[in-house]
Amino acid sequence: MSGVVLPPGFSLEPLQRTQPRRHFDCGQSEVNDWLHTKALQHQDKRLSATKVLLAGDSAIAGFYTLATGQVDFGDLPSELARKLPRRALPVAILAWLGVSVAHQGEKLGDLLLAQSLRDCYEAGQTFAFVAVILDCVDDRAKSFYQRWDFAELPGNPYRLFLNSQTLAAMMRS
Amino acid sequence: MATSLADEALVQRSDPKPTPEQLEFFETQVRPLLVKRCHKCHSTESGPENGSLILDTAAGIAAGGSRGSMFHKEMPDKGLLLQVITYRDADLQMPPDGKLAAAELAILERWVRDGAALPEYKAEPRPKLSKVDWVEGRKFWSFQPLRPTPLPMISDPQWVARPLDTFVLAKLSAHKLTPNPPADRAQLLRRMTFDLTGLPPTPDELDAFVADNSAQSVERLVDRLLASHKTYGRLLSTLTVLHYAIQFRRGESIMAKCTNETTTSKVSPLMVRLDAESKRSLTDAAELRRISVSDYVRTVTVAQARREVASARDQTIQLSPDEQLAFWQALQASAKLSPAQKRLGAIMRGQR
Ligand SMILES: CC(C)(COP(=O)(O)OP(=O)(O)OC[C@H]1O[C@@H](n2cnc3c(N)ncnc32)[C@H](O)[C@@H]1OP(=O)(O)O)[C@@H](O)C(=O)NCCC(=O)NCCS
Repeated sequence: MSGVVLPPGFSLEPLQRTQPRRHFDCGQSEVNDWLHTKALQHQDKRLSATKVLLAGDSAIAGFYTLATGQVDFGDLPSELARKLPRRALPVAILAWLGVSVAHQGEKLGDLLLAQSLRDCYEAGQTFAFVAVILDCVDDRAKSFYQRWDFAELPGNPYRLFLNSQTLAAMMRS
Repeated sequence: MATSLADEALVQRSDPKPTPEQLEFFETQVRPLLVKRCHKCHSTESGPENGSLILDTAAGIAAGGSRGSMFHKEMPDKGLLLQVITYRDADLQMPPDGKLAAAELAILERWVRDGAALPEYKAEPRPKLSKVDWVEGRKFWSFQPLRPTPLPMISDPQWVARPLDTFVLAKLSAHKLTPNPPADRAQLLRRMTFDLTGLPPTPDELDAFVADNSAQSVERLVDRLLASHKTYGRLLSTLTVLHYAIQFRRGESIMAKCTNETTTSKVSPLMVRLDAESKRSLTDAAELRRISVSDYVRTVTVAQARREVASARDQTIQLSPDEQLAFWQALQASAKLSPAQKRLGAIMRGQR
């Protein structure tokens, strides 16, 4: 069992130059712009990785981009720091996710979210991190993610997170 | 002065008049290429978002974008256009989604090396693309350099202890008022403590100050009040950025706005300026958190903003100490899945 079950005719692949990424439209211009002009450049530079969901006609039905980052804990009171070190700790970031307007409402968004978290979990078996951060492009995106009860990163209303225990529990139970 | 960019470009383009062959080359080879590969992001229709560069008018091509002209007159290959389309600069490569084909590159290279001929166009000032009028904006008082101001004429030079007093006395006289007699020590302490902390002095502080008749007693008092973290220091750092933010965002008078926006904290406006770098850090840091500058500055100081911006460059998320603590605690929290999270987990594990 290698991942989320996709509806028949769909497949998930790493983003490649040959895919028609410029035709992708999820109705959100920043998300579109990311896939049209930046995702591939960033992937080439190894700054992030993007996977696309291809429909039967090989149009891009959806995509998500994962990246790594860190959260600085340099100001923690020292008595707490016995458990976790007082330095920057690594996090996984679900930076972008979108479903093409033509396929919205088919639950593909949830499937892509599930697969991206699964990717994080699997990567975490090799390269550890303390949480997954979900970047929300706007209020709609945030309410879409919040359906899964993810908490806000303190002070950052457009970033949600789940800690790695929660991620692991979701894969276990 | 707003037209200087366009003027420069015009001077550059106007010498030798293009030959018919050059113009034909532009129309048949260059223009279609620009339409095909560049107009999506750089046209009158696509707007100024992408470097304020407009490539669907000759005037726009001549004017260049926010980085200036696309052409280098003496050394054509050093011009910005050829730099970016040849992908020589790792940070700015156009088109962003893939280099032009060799044949396409050759067309633009030939055109640029041959003087980048353009059809005739009206020598208009560079179209104003940005909603912000930067030239006008820079005239705002807080962006003016400090200048020495001549001291006003006054009636009673004896009264003046330091140059600033001259202005006070001049204004008083203008309103036909005379200065009050000097305050006694108790009054002085009370006024200064109220001014700098918003609170009255304690009886102990009063006794100590009245008893202290050394020459530096007032200076020491001011230093102590300024250093007081809970009151003045905190107030100042929050208000400074708040005032700045309000003014920066709206380009309006601090005074007028601040009375509206800080009705809860009744304080006299503090005319404190921030340097350009601090301002930029604040707006950038607020942007990183995707909250408004005024929301951001309500809780966070300039130093924190600077850290956040610097860190974003290496993909580090910076939180204030309180936020770190809250997040750290959330990271320790045991994994108690909500019903929704259990459902998502099932999808992750490949159930339908
Ligand atoms: C948000 C988005 C990914 C949802 O994709 P989708 O495939 O249409 O969503 P689904 O079909 O999987 O919807 C599943 C559920 O989410 C709900 N949903 C969809 N968008 C929602 C939103 N903005 N807020 C709250 N709920 C939302 C649906 O009602 C549906 O609910 P149900 O399970 O109770 O029926 C898609 O609309 C999109 O691409 N939007 C623009 C880009 C974007 O916002 N990206 C997000 C992060 S960068």
